[in-house]
Amino acid sequence: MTNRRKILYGIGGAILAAWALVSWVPSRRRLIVDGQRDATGGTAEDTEDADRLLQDLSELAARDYSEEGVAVFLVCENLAGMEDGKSRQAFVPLALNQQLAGDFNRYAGMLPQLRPEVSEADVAALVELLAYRDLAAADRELPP
Amino acid sequence: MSPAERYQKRAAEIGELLSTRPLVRAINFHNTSRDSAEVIEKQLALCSRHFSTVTEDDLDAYLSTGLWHKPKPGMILAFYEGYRNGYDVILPLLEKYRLTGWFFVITGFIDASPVEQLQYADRHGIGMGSREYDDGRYALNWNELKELDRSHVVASHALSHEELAPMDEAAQLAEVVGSQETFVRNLGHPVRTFVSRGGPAYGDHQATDRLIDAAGYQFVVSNFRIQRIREWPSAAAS
Repeated sequence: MTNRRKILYGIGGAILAAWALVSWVPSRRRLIVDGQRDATGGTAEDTEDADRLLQDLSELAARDYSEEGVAVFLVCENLAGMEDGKSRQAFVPLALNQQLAGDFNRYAGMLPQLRPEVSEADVAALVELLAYRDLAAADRELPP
Repeated sequence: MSPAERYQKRAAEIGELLSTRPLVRAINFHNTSRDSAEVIEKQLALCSRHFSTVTEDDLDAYLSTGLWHKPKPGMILAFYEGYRNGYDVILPLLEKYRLTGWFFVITGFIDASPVEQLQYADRHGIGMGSREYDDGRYALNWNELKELDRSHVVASHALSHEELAPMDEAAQLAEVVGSQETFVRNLGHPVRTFVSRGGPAYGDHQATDRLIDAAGYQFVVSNFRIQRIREWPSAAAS
């Protein structure tokens, strides 16, 4: 009986120690009540967004680019006849521009906080991520 | 400039471009083996339901006016390198779904003899994860390209699939102008679109820009952009 109690105390102590350790580790995964902000000003939605961003980037990076179709967005520029190389277009930005640029800027700002060793390749990865989600969203929709 | 600073600079540039410029969707394919045909067909079927196919004339009109003229958003289906399965696997699917493919072809890969093509691919960064041809020919041949050229876009992915920036001028000339000359010789006309490995944009390197001008390409595709450099003679005449 004494031995069993010792074992139970041991397990309980280990759980408490682990909890104490985890609760002191600054983590994006800290439980936040919806709508409340954590110490860095983030909300639960931000935390989910950040987790999803890292997970999606990791999954997309694992693709074999030579064997799989990779969705991207391309920015269109008309340089014809422009001596200064600047684009000439009568273009009124669309809802897609607003949505895409908003998501891109949010993620581009978020990524260095989550993974400090960012590089230019991460910019391409973010555009690919947004294109991937755009195509996945089309796949969920009914045909127009 | 540190990698983080380059990231910030590039991110700011792309964020600005995404918010202010016309956009077009694209899917980039490379080796499209028979093993992956089922997955690719699902993607192409999805594209045919939700997006409009894009030709070079469509792109010309879009880039020159900023207005997209088809009922559904445009989707460029790009097939890189010039793999033989672009003809065997992809062409029937494109025809089934009435889509236009853009075949970005490395002319040196096409012109390598079949016995050398696997080695060529290995030396020039052409992915060969799937190997399905016993006869050793992994690149399109010119007869197949002529057939693709009738109803799809055949474009230049330069001569050898090497990055242009570190090359001297003679080597760049062979890549940019030489590949165009090869298309003229084999297809009977120049191709309109150019992309090199690593995707530098027009304007990134002046020496390369001069060669792109000399070769007469109309469009330059890069990592984030598709640029219309000039009028195309047939479009200007019509």
